[in-house]
Amino acid sequence: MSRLRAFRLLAAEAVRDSLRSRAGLALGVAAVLCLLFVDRCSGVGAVIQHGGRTLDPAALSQVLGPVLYGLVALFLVAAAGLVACDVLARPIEDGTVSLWLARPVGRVTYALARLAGAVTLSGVAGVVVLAVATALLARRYELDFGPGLVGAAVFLADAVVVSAVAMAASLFLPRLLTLFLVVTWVQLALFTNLAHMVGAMFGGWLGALERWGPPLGTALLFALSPWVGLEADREQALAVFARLGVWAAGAVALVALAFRRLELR
Amino acid sequence: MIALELAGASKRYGARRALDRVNLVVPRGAAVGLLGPNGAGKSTALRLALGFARPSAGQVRLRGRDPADPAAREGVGWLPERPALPSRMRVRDLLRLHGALAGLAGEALEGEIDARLAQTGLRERARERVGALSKGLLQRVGFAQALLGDPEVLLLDEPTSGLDPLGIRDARDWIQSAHRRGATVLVSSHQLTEVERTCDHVVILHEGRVAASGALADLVRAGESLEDAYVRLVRGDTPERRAAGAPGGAP
Repeated sequence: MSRLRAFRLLAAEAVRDSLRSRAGLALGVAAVLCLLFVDRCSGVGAVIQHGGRTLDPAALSQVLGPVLYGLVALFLVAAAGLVACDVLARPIEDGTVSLWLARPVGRVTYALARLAGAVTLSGVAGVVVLAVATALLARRYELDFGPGLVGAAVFLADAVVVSAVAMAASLFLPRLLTLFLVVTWVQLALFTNLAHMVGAMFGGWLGALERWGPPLGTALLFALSPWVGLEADREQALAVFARLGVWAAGAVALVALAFRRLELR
Repeated sequence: MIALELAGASKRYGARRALDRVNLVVPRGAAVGLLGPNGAGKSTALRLALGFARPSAGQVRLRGRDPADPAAREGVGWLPERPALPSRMRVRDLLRLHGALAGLAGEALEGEIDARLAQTGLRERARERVGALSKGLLQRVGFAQALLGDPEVLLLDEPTSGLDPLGIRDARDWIQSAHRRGATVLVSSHQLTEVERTCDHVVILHEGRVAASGALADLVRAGESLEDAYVRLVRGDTPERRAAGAPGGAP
């Protein structure tokens, strides 16, 4: 039994398992709600006046398009983390993991297959939603497709980071605490990322989170910068994407190592 | 050749010592019963054997390898006590995945699944979800997955748990037929009668240590049942103690 074959079999089962569970249904509902949100918000035909002056619709689209896209992408990243909380913890809790690991399957192979299954499900849902959102925004606000596609790639990397960290945390923490910590961590990372982009400076652990933490929001902002009309520093953008890549690789390694060392009762 | 070996294996959970310098050798082709009261360390020994936990001291070898190495678990069938099976899977899909992970593919896999479903009396239940099955049927599914691919080592934890008398007889037949074709069998059980009928060697664990081990014929004295021998070896219980009304003696 090659590792690759075992990985493929277990990853496919992880996808089916998520689809059979409430997580699949919840993701489907979340995806539909996201699309309705983008459709309703971008379909508003109002003329907005500020200080007696009518706002230029093109300027409005530069704000509203990226905001809608970003909100949906970040909501889906958090949803991916919530789905991942159960992916490894549940088979351990109900004892089914022991049957799979009694087969010639390595711990790392099993953990990575479960992660791949979870990310595949949330990734496909997210990419479909973001692709449809991009198409809607492109038609209504005449935005380019490119940033939307780069944004979808950033969403995938974000989903890997958050899912893997959530899975690793779920090995040691109770479910509710894991859910709470994942949501709090994602929100704090986004808050510090976005606040830093508008010039806020942080010290202490918030500063460390902004400087060294996963650039979940910063990477998305760089991806969508052509829509906002910002001229992003190419080197700075590459550094942010590289940091996100390092976080993704590190988070995957973290969940693999944590599960490898775990004693099963 | 040795199928399973625990050499001076100890396992601690915090301050509690679940296994204490246990030496256990299961030769290839043997049928060994692992006996002991609750908390004696039987399930811990099986967990170490499968690599689910690491020994705090000593060594464990499964098929000559570290059990953490996936190659050690090739050709191993495992039936946990009260098997936890994915409730949303259908029986046939569960067996298909286990068979594929055991290295079977294509027609050989489907043929093997059909054979195990027929053997365990589950042919009519193949399309049902695991969660809809009774306790006894779940045990049969557990057996079916453990027997897939004719494993060379069969590790069974309380294999007759939840089975009715007919099921117990079937389980005995499956274990005996696996042993007859050459499989190594290690059965952890409280059912002394079943162990007596299916195993030729026993290892008795008590408070994490090996209290006795050897061939059934050597451990059981003339006129004694395995139950008598078990009580004697675990409690030091003898007819003389019972006659004297020693605490803990048999009624």
